[in-house]
Amino acid sequence: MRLMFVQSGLFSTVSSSFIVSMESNLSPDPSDTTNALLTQLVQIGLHNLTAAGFTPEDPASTWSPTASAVRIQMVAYASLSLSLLAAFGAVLGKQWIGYYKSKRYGRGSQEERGKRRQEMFDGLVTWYFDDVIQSFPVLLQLSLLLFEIALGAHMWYQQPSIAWVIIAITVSGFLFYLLTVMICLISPACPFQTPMSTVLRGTVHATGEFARCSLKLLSAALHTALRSLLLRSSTNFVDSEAQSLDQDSDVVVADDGTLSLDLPDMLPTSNLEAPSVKWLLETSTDPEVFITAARLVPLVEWPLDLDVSDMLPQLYDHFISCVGFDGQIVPSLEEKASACATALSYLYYGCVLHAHPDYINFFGSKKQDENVLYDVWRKDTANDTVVAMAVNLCLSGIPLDDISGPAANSVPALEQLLHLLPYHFVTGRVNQSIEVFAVEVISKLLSSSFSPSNQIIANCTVLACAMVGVQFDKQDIIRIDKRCS
Amino acid sequence: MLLTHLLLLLCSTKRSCSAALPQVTQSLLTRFQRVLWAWDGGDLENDSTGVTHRAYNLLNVICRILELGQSFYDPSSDTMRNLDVCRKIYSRMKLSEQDDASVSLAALRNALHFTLTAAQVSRDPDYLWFEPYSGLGTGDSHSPEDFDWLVDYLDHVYADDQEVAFDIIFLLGPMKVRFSAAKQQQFIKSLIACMGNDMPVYLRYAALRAAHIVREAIASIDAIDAKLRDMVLTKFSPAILTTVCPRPGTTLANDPHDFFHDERDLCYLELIFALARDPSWHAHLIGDHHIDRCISMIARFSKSYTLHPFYLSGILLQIAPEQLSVAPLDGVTEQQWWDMMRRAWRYADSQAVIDNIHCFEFLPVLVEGTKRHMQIASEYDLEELVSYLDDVLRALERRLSEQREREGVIVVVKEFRTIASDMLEKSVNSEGVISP
Repeated sequence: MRLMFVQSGLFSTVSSSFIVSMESNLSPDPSDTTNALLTQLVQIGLHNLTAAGFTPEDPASTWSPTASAVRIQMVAYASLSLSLLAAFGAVLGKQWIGYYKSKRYGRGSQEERGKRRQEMFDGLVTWYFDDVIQSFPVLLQLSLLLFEIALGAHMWYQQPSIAWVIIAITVSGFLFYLLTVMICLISPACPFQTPMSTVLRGTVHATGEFARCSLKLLSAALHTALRSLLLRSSTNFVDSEAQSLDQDSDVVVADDGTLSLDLPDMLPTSNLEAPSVKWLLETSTDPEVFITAARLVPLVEWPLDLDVSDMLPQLYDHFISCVGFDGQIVPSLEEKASACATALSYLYYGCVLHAHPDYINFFGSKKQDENVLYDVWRKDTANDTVVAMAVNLCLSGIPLDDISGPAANSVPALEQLLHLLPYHFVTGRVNQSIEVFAVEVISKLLSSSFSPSNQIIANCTVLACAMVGVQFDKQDIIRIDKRCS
Repeated sequence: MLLTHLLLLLCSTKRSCSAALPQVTQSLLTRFQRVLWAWDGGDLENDSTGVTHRAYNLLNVICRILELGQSFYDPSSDTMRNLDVCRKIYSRMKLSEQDDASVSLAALRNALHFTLTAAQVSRDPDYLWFEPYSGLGTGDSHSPEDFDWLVDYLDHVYADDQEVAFDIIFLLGPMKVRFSAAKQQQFIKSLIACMGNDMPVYLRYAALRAAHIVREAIASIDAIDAKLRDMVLTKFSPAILTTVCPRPGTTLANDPHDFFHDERDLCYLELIFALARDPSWHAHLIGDHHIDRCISMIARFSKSYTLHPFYLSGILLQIAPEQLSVAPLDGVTEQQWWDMMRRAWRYADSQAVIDNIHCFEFLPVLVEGTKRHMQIASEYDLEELVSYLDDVLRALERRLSEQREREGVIVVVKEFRTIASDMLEKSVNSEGVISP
């Protein structure tokens, strides 16, 4: 920001000096009047009164700037204004950053300060602070372009041969800029990234997605239309049979209306927990902090409106970084791998629920989703039950024989599983292994060997409700798994 | 510092909310029942939705969930419909192969227990002695034959699974699920077996309670067929005593904990009182030591402010109506007789007596018995007796408008009240003459 401030100041100075030199084109030249008067005096001295005339010469009274000069000056002044605006933006940006830095923690306990910082950080994201700051250099670039145009045009009227030099250099610079932008569009790894290339890349991606979705919808509509056209006569009997089955099953799966749970509202600062953990996972380079943040993933409430799908590939990358050349987890990185696998599984569950009833692939395609989760399950030995369930969630309908691993016998581990199992039944991604396992988990947790807490009872009840088809609000499923007691 | 912040964050995630538990528990019960009812008894593998199959699996744990959340749901009033599901599972079990039968057997066991749990009936034996359960729902269209399978299953299961036997007896006893008369002999036979001294105490008590519920049918022994009559008289009578006294010859000294149990003994006395109305039972009650047992209770209950003295008086007065020589009764002192009679009137105005025709008809007998033993009464005892009689008369007169045939009993009690009052007056006057 400081550099931009200096640059815009320098540029404003340079453009100002040139504008001053071009200023003469906007006012009459006083020497023209002097020359006219001298010419008139000479005519009078030569007694050529007719040529001298009877009134003194005043060329300034009839002078007006040329249209091209005015346009050139307009462009030049626009350039100057933009550079000054960029300087002003730099000043403002410096102020804003100063305010953020001084106020981001505030007062209070470590926890309150952390949440305050996250709140301020969320504000930066919500109000596109980064984009606004990034727009100031664009102003400066635009100012430079306008200045070059003004200079070239001015020189064109003065000395075209010099003007060619200016125009050639300006066009070369502009083409080079366009080239870098194009390269950035093709290769995201290209180092010549600018705000313009980011914006263009987003636009191109969105357009591509829109086109692909439109094509898919179109093909689906065509397929349905053709199918209904071809099979209309032959499906009459089948449909009537299917209808009777549906009627029978309606008794069982009839929607009683979604059960809306009367849960108390979240604490005002609770909605900062998930963004805080997300931010830590995305930005932290300290392995210890990363592992701690990953372990917090199952414990915090991930709101439905917080998109965490982009975290899945990141966590998978972190997990893969723990795998050695032999394809096994490096012993010293087992803790990190375990935390990554758990966090990945939990976030995958959240994403699936978030997307329900749609089926979205978070690693590119369904096959890739399956491969990623299966890969994590095969490599991770500490959390195989949670990850195995996530695999089952992805491979819906495919039984997984060894679903309950050795980790699934302690009460905390069972409680974790208890949080996840309702997702299977709510999203309909359930198979016989999961059904049997759910009953087993409830049975173990409610066994008479210890007195289960109200939280365990409530979560077991929610799971049983989900199993028999009680409809829940998605938000309640997310909230109840952490809250009920 | 950041790590500390994270740990603090970790602590803050432990929140609490108690509002959801009642909602989800009630929803679970309602939904679970509906899913079970929708099952037609067919093959679960053909269940297209999978929900019935899941509910069937959940039978293993549903009772535990509901028991832990018992205070969060209203008792189900659909016991009959739940029993229909049990019947379907029973039918399925009867038709299935050996392996499948064991699965169905476990499901039936759980379904029966669920039926009781949904109605908020506990397996706690203390729950047995409360007033008969009346939550079977209204407009029930079932015939008694629909529940004959329960008797069959009880006969099949009591030797191996006493908890299931308890559930069935609870349904057929306190919950008053009716079965056909043809199964009565089989049921009583099973009850007798469940009263055996090798059975756990909760099952023996449940059998006693069930016998108590059907006591009037058993008491009217002349109305039942000869085969059943023989079995009832020869086997049922000693079995009843086993329920309250599993080891013959047990005394208060060597079994202080279980020798007396107020609720159980009241139930036992009511049953014996009903049986003692029929003279054909008298020899069996004496021979099977029921009278001995009743006499052993006199010391504990003769002065108690409960219904025990009423039923004790009823049993003993009916066994020896004219003070005939009945050997065991010789041990009862005159003072014990009087205390028992006097306290018998204490709750003679209660609904349990006034609304029960047999207890009501016994009142004139009680009048005669009290008259015989009131000679030793003190002035305080007489005052107490007169006040009890006043209460009884008030209760009787309140009901007079509804049942005119009670007039004769009221007259007898009124006359007795006058006698007691005169006796009290004389006692007061005699004391008044002497005392100055």
